[in-house]
Amino acid sequence: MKIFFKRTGGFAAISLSVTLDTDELTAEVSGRLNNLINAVSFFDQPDSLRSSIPGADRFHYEIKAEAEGRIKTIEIDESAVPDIFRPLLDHLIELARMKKK
Amino acid sequence: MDVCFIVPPHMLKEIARRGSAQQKQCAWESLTLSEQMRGQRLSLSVISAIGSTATGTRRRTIYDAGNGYTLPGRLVKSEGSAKSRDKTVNEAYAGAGVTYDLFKKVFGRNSIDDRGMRLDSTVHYGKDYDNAFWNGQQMVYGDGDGELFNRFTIAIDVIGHELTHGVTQYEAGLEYQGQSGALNESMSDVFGSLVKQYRRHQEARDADWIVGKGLFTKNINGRGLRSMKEPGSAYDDPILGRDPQPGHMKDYIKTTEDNGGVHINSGIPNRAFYETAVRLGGHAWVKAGQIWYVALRDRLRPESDFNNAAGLTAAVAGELYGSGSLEEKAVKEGWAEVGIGI
Repeated sequence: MKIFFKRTGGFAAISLSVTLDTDELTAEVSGRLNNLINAVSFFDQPDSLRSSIPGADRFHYEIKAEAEGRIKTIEIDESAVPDIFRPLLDHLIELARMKKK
Repeated sequence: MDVCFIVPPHMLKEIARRGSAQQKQCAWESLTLSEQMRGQRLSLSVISAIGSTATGTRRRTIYDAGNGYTLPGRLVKSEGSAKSRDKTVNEAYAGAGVTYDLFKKVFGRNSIDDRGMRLDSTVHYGKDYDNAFWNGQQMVYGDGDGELFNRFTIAIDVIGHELTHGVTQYEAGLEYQGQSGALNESMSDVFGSLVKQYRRHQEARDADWIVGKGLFTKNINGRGLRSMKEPGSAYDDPILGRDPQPGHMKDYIKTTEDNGGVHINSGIPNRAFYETAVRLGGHAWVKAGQIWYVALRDRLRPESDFNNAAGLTAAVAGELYGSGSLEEKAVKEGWAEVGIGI
């Protein structure tokens, strides 16, 4: 599975992104990522989770996954992130930070 | 919106996974809304217990999210209570106080809504969360990741910035997109910077005009997040790259990210304010700040752009200090410096 993750916006407006290929990751990292993607039924979700709640300096997330001929991109406003997406987002942010070091 | 609060969250999650397309959408909307409301219900119950009458005095409340994502979190400090052992709590409390004082004592404004609204802040939000934000009701601060960013309460202008988003929401209501969004961001940088200068009793010529000084860890090569004096010069680092802010209309950046570059093109009106303030001299909040505040309160509208802001601030300067006054001239020159003629 290939995954692209990007976080934009925020007070600092410094974007964070990472491209991952589970075939090139350790079994542990790859397994955890697969589990997190499956846990949110990623390929069955809406393309966009938007919010009209007023506010400022919030993040915006884009997650694209490609597996077994299926390609799916989900865009999520931070104020619309459901709880079950948090572990996936936290892990992708962690992987993007590790890449940046 | 059709939402189904009566359905418990675990069932909504199942529907979100297995339902029809319409059911999934409904379930997602309900889940999202219920998660947003969960914290607000607790908050509202506290508000009703304390009362929300306009008092004309500071009413600060600090909550601790415990590195989770539920707002507002656990109440840890209220107005006048003992100093916390947590410096983040004390910073959020003190910063909100100085911001309240600037708006009250200098501009005659009674809190965010001008009706004595309680100033709610949550600290320790999220996991290694490198951000601060205004959620439409309160300020929220992360601890930073410790590698690139320190805690976001470390810089008082960040606190002034977030609180000013509330003022903008209640006044001009600048839409958070494109040029109006960049003006929204710029207003927050302007008054955030004035909060810092006000606390330090600094004159315009002595201020550093850096937004977010102290936010970067020592691993990063930068003075802060943004420079109002020289947009584009705040940081230049192998990990983070270079500060992308333009300081002139000829360098305006067209982008779809960040709501059309609201944190990037804000460098242009930021510099216009700086140029105006240094021309006027003295404490920046006295004249330049007053002109910008009146424009924000009475003149700017949700779809205002940079040209509108330039014309309106010049008009306000003319009304406050006289047509053809030095103040009006300084405002016009400030905008001319960034490529916006009036």
